[in-house]
Amino acid sequence: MLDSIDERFDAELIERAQAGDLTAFGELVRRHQRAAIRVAAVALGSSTGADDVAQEAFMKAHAALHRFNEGSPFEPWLFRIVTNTARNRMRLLGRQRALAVRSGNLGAIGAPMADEIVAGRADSQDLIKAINRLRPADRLILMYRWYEELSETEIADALGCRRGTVKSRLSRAMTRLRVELGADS
Amino acid sequence: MISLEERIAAAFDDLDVPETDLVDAVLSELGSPAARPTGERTRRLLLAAAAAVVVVASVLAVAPAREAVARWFGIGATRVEVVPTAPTTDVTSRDVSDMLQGDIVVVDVNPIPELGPPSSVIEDDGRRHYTWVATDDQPPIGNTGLGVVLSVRSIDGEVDLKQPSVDVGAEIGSINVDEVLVAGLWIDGTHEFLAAGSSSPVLAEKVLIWVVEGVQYRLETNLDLAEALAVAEMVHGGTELLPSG
Repeated sequence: MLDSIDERFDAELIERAQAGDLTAFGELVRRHQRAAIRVAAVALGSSTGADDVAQEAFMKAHAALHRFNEGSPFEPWLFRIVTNTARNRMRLLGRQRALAVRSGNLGAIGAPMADEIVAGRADSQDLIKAINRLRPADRLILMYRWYEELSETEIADALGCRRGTVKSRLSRAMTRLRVELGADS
Repeated sequence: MISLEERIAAAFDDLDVPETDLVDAVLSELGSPAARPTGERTRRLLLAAAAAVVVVASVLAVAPAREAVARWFGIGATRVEVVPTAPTTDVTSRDVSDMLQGDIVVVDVNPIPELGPPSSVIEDDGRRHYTWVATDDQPPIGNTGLGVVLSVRSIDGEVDLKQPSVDVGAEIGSINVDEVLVAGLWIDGTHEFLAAGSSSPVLAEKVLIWVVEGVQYRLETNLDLAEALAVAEMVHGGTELLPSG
């Protein structure tokens, strides 16, 4: 069941792309590339190569479009391909995990006071370091839930797990993150 | 006061990720002759994988793990306790070497460098079972101490995956492996697995089964589907497995 206008537009683009319309697929790429690159970075544990992984994932998604379930949201399906691709890449490269944090740009959550922004930057660095020490699956579920704001069903689709296990997985990931944050302090 | 959830969202928003525009690159690749159908790419991968099969012979020479691997391992109509460290007098158990006897037609698989050499290789009833002990990355299956069990057999019209009896509440999903995978099944939940030609079901929890070109693979782990697929990919030398949407 597609709830949003965005999802219905995706469905139209997918239908056109399945019929061979490359322009429609290009529009899908344009709409989801930012999210795909971010998922790739979190799955890789590094922003380096995240765009390459996302590009490869879009190629695979195009090759598999005929198997896409009509009526399902596009992003969870795409995210699974992205994370599978990232996992393959990590196996090949044995890459170390080191998430980098852009300087500044913490103002996305309301309008904190100036001193909070400074504190927020340091806090964000610590938080990213703590998140970075988590397993990829934990990092991904935290991002899917709190950043991408996916539903439980969508998270289950993106992770390839049972919907009934999403809550417990998220809870465990939060617990492990709190432990990591405690270790930092 | 900002909640931890909001801080997490902000932290992910704060990640330094490339702002590459992928549209032109993707469309260019899709429009180029180099953008071959996935099936052709996969076929080439499989050919490369087949060339590597010869290496598998060395796998059989690997001694069973020295770790105390004890597991009730249901094979065919016989329930066998595998304790590779030492022979046992338990009447229900057999030494691994016993099981290697006999004229059995089995199927080789690629070595899986990421998992290292298997802890044991067991042959029985036309199947070859590769086992790996549990690690941090491969959590144990129940209390067996094993992290991965891969069973491989050549099929002749009878596919195991049609026969599992699954408990209510277990998840069953299909998987696809580009054009290569003929059929695939993921079972996440307690189920009785009745192998083809056997009358004795075995209990299992998380199992991925797939068939490629007449060979059935059954992967039993304690992993998520995505992680199990990643292991399965290794079996095929890096062939991509894709969720079915």
